[in-house]
Amino acid sequence: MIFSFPTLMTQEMWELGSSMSHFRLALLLLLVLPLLMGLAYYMGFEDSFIDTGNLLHTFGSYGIGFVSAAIMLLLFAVIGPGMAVHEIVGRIALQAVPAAIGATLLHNDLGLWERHAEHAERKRQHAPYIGQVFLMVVGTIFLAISPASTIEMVLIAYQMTEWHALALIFTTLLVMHALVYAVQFRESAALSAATPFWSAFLRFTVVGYAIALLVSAYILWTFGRLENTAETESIKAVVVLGFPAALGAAAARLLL
Amino acid sequence: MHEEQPASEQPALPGQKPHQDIPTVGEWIIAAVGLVLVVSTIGFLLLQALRDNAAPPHITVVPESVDRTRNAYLVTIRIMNRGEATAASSKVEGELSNGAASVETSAVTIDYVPLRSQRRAGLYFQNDPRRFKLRLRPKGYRHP
Repeated sequence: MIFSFPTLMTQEMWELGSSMSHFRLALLLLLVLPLLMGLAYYMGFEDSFIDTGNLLHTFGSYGIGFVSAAIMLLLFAVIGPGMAVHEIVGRIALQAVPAAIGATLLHNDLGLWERHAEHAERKRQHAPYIGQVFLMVVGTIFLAISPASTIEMVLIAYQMTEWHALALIFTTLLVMHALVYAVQFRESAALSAATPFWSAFLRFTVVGYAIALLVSAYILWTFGRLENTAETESIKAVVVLGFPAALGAAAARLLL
Repeated sequence: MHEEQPASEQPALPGQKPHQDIPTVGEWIIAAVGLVLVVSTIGFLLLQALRDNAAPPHITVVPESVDRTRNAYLVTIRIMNRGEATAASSKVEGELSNGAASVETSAVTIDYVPLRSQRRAGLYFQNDPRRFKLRLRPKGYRHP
């Protein structure tokens, strides 16, 4: 819950919960499942990706996400009697996504599975490349979902010229690469001082940024922010949201 | 350049760096896909930026349907921006007239109509729009 307060207290998230497409919300809830499973795996609960223990923890986190979101929304009077059922369900379900990711992370941070913690840390450090990419996806979603709900993402895009967007892309890549270096060098087995600049840049920074753009586009689509909007404005909005998303990808090893 | 493994930086870890340092074919494929995505995004924006797009918003409004609701008539409308700039707070007015006499007006403000995009809205009337002449027109907008 520590991680999901910004989203719980964002008005746009409540409104989206009420008004967004039910199909897209259902799709989001479904796609989060494999994400939570992977996260539970890398957070060290179990040694196998698909086994009873891992599934148990995955659904456990999801359950905690739903219950804690429901309790907090009740306390904030965001949901209550007199509201349509689909609205209440939508508001809780949308909040459950960041809450569930937060719940999985918190287990790890508080060392609730102390005996697993060291093992998990090693698993993450020696994760295969695809595992690193996966962690980048999680970091991206985690950092992007809250700003994505706000109208400011598209508003910023409307205010920007294409030159602003291009400058933002290069700034994002620059900051990302600095982060990739700072984080990966210290904590990961995948990069060493011998890795040439372009190799690290292509395999981590560019891939991370591509993930950030894809995830941003997906979330904006899920929230219906790209409806009937020209490609230029849509892509600018994706680039704007891509900024926090990209930082999430680059810093995934720090955040998670 | 020859480098030493700085063992002091990660005392808690067994130094297993070298074996993962050679990227596999799969890694390069993922990297290539990523590169294509990022470069095409940049390319698209660059193309757009180089086009001359100083044209202001150009708002047009068309009716989509007329429905009878419990205590009013609803005209759903589509607001299209064919211009090259986004219009904020664009106000749209609908007027029912009978010959030269105005019967009723109704208005709505749309938060944002991005360039080359469209938005939907609705106007309520007390009189049946099908019995009069309906005129829809944009009244103004704000620069975002």
